[in-house]
Amino acid sequence: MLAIVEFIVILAIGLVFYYQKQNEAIIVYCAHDAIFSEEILNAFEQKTGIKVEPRFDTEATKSLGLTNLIIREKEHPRCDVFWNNQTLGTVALKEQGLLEAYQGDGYQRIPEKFKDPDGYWTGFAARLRVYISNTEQLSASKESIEQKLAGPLNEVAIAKPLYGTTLTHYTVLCDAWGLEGLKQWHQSLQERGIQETSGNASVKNLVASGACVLGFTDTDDYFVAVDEKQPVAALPITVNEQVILIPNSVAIIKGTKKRKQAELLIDYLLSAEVELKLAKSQSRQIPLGDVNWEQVPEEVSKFRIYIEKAYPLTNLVKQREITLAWLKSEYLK
Amino acid sequence: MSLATICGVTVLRSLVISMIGVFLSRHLSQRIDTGYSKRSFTLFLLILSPFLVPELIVGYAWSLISLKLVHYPFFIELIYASLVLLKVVPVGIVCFHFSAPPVISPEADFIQKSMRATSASISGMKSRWSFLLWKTMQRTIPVWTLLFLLSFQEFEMASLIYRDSWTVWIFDAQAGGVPITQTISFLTGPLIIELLIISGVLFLFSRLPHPPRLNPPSNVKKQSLIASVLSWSYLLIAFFAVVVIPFSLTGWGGVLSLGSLFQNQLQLAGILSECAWGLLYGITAGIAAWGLASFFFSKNQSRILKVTGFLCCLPGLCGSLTLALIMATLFLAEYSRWLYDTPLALFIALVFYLFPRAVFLKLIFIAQWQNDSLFLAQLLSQSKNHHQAIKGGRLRWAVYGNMQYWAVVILAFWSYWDVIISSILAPNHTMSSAVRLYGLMHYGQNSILSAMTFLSLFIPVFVSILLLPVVKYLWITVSDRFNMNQTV
Repeated sequence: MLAIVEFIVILAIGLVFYYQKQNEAIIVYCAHDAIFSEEILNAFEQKTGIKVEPRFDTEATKSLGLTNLIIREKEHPRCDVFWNNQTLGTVALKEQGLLEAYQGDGYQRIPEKFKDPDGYWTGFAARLRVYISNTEQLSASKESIEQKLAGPLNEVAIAKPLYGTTLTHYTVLCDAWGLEGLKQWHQSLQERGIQETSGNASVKNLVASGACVLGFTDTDDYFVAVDEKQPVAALPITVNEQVILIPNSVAIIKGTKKRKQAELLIDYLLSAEVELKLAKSQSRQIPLGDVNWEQVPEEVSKFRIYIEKAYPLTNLVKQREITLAWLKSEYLK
Repeated sequence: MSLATICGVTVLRSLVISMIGVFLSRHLSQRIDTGYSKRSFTLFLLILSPFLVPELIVGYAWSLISLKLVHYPFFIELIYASLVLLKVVPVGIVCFHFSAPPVISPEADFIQKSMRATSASISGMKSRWSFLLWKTMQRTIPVWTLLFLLSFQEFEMASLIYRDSWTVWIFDAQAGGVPITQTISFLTGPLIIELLIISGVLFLFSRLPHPPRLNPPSNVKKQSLIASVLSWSYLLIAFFAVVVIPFSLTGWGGVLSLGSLFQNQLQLAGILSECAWGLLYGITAGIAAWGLASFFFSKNQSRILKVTGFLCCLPGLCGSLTLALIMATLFLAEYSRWLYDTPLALFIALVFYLFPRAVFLKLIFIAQWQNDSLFLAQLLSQSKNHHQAIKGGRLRWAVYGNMQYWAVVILAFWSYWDVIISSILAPNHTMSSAVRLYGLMHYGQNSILSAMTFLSLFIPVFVSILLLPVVKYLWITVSDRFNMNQTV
């Protein structure tokens, strides 16, 4: 038996050394859903021959987990490229000096309002923050939703705002209303019995199943319900007449030893080809750069008008910090 | 809700579950004691299957069912607590079934009760306490502790059914990026609770005149018809709730959707590779944990090594979350950072996680091996006649090797379905399938997910059956050569 144990130890040590030698692959921390992003990364591998090792996040802690992991590993970074499914976390990384600038071909094709002026990060393929309603119980009109939100909220669902796009939503509200206004709104939601869940996917599940009639979620989760032929409709959430359009963002991590491969991947992710792929994928992301809109599915192209009406997210680092600090004091005590 | 409040809720829930669990286990163990004499494989399967079905699958299935009950949190809590109860009771049954009977004989108990009214010293408080301790507590408290720890550390079902639990709270906090040192500080409360309870059992053991033993049942009492009907009803309900419902929700849909999964080459390649990694981690960690348990707790091992072995059980007894976070802290330290993000950190954590479970299985099997058949098989396998030696080797496999094989399979299966340790410590592209499924299960039900779940469950079962004849052949051959060498 001891021989077996010895064998296992040797095998384990062998594996350690094997991994130490595996330095050719580019490591991508990817907060975008694995079921959508794996195909893109795989296509990049086939196109360039560069191996990609992705690390995905859990649904419950979307994007924030990886953002903080990069901060945690800043002394010895193992990530080369960060593909975030939103922008604010990436902007925070820039503020901490954890990103390297790059302005390649992909950067050039993205509008100014969705990228860092110095090239530390670039946004692409966005989703909208929407109200999702169960059409068998509530019409998806602005009036009926406002009426529903004015009363008891025990049939309305929202994800825990500590993570993901709900955090972005709260940050935008903090910017628009101030922290006190946001706190009052949050308090009001809690008092009126809103159903707080672990993520946007569970908000979609609750509304699609009819357990709730209305929820705050994103277009990618809404389209999952549409594909499942669930009775749902979506209406963009507006703040000061502007919509919350949340692009993916991509950045090179400071200290990468694979800068050239990282640049190639970033150019690929910011290409029209990938934006079109993401628009046609189950997540139906809205292209931000110049693409042939005739190739974009109709259900996505109808959101094109909102690109101009997007709430500016590039300068909300301070608001994000304030919001996150307050939320941590509320939820992590 | 704050961590302190959530911790309180988890303690309260675990107390209720473990107390009911002990009561049910003690009564149901009589059912198994009766069935044991008949060597009823079906009965064992019925009792143990709720414990062996992965929490991830049970939690996923019941999260879909409980979705409609979002406005009735009490019922969701009831469902969750019942599921945890149904999953921990088999452990209690096995413990009661294999533990030695109380040192107080029925005759001594009768005399003690008869003397209560008199002024004899045997009726005093001290002696009453002593009788109570030796009669019931000696068996009950260790089982209660085990059930409490299992309920208290439950994670997957709580996360998928959205129940408040300290494990979910801390896991989400660490995954959300709370610095590892701060996360460790969050663990203080739960860790103190766990260590207090483990220390309490140790204190109890230290007061025992003889160390606790695990024995096969000796005297079997016949159950009344009502007790028998109730026992069977419970077992059937548990089997239905934890095995039939989850498998009917995921299994059939999964089989039907396998075609779609096989068409989606990317998803298929991903899940197969993750299953392979999960199996590799599970098998290596399972063998190592079993080997270490055999080393530390062999029959003639010294007391010092046994105590060392018990100390090695402590990290695993404190749960996978505590263990994974402590390991992550250690491997993020300056001197060991080079090992972070390698399979070694994960492997060590899994071995520690499985070690107490391996010891538990080992102690049960030691009780089984103390019989004449093993000795006779061993004698036969040492025969100079090659034909007889081979026969002896096969007999030894039947009474000894076979059990070891299935023990390692069970350990590997537990490791394979672990979410927490893999998600915190596994290197980037060697995540196990349980982590991917855990992520996807939050999105709701779809056919591909059902197919992936079915495949993830089917692969280890298939591999364990496939490996059985290979391991059997190798085991018999190696032990035959070993005996030949010994004879020469």
